[in-house]
Amino acid sequence: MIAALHPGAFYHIEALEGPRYASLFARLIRPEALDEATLSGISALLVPCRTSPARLVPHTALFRSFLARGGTLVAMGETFQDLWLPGLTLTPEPTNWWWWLTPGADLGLRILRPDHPLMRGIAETDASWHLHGWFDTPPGAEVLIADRGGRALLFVDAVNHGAGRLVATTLDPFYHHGSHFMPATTRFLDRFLANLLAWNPP
Amino acid sequence: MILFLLSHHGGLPAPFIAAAEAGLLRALPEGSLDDAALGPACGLIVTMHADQIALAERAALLDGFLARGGRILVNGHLLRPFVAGVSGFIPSGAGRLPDLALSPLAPHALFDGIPREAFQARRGVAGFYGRGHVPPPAGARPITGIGSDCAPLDWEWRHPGGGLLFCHAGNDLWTTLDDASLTARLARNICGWLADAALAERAA
Repeated sequence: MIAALHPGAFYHIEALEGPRYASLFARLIRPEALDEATLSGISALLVPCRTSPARLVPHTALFRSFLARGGTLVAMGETFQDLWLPGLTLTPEPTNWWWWLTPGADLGLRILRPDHPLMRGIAETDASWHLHGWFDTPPGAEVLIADRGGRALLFVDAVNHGAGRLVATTLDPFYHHGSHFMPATTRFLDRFLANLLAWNPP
Repeated sequence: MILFLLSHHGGLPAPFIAAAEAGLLRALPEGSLDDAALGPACGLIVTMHADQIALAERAALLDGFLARGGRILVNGHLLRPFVAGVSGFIPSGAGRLPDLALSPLAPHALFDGIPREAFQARRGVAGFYGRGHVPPPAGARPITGIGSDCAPLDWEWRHPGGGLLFCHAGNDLWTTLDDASLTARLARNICGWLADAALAERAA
């Protein structure tokens, strides 16, 4: 079962409660309500884009124990994961909102592991809207999406968190989908969330 | 004092730093919004990143603020009825260019000295300003329309107690202009409008 944190901004309300994806989440949890009891029976916890890290930092130990016992934690973009997931190194970069105005332009994003269960059916154009930064790849982690320089935009770390799997990305599709802006983000979420559900069967 | 309700990571947006340094405005973490914080305030800025679920639980607080003459600027799509009892966002058509066309419907102090057409696009791309509207309460004054039917993307509503609410159903207003000097003017206008009630009271 997948749960999502629900930080309550309009784009979260639209994306998490709207009819397109609401049925995929077994539970929506307010960050302040997060505890062992609210995570009972949950195999994957998704932290949506633009959740303020101030609301996540108090739960660092809980995230660690959730991972250690085999949970999947999905940390989406613009949540400044380095502040609430100790050990991660995140390098933000200024957003180029305009790259696509140049005919033939390429954001440079590459899906390195199209065969991975989380990437099934996702084309590079479905994942290309803006870049907000990159991660140093943790030792042993698999980079599924990288930028032009091969730096990690989405990785799966199944070796450094006990029995758990950490999925971290700098992409922020919930924000744009929930704002009715950027159709690629909806295409990305359509596939990514279905893949996540299949990857974490009930 | 104007309160800028801080809901995102990264602190006060640059266009409001001058007002903060002048002692006119201060950032307030959204979890700290209560009667004590609002008591000495004349105006409140709510961003598009606000936790509307938490704000809806404090709707009476905001209503009380408007009832005693306070002014509120709300940005974003109101999907929880945290102010004026309104909620619901209606996207403008299919989001094509004519659906995103802006129409000034009335002048407003927020836009003094700013050509309204400057909000239409950034680098030729429409949609930053807004992509739909929140249906206003009865008696609201439409300020900016969107799409062929000029749906009220911006509106102002006067609370029976005298306070004013400006609702902008789009991205944070200060992020919608290309020109930095116009953005600075907009931030000054916002502060001026939010402080106006306090100035009027003081003059009386």
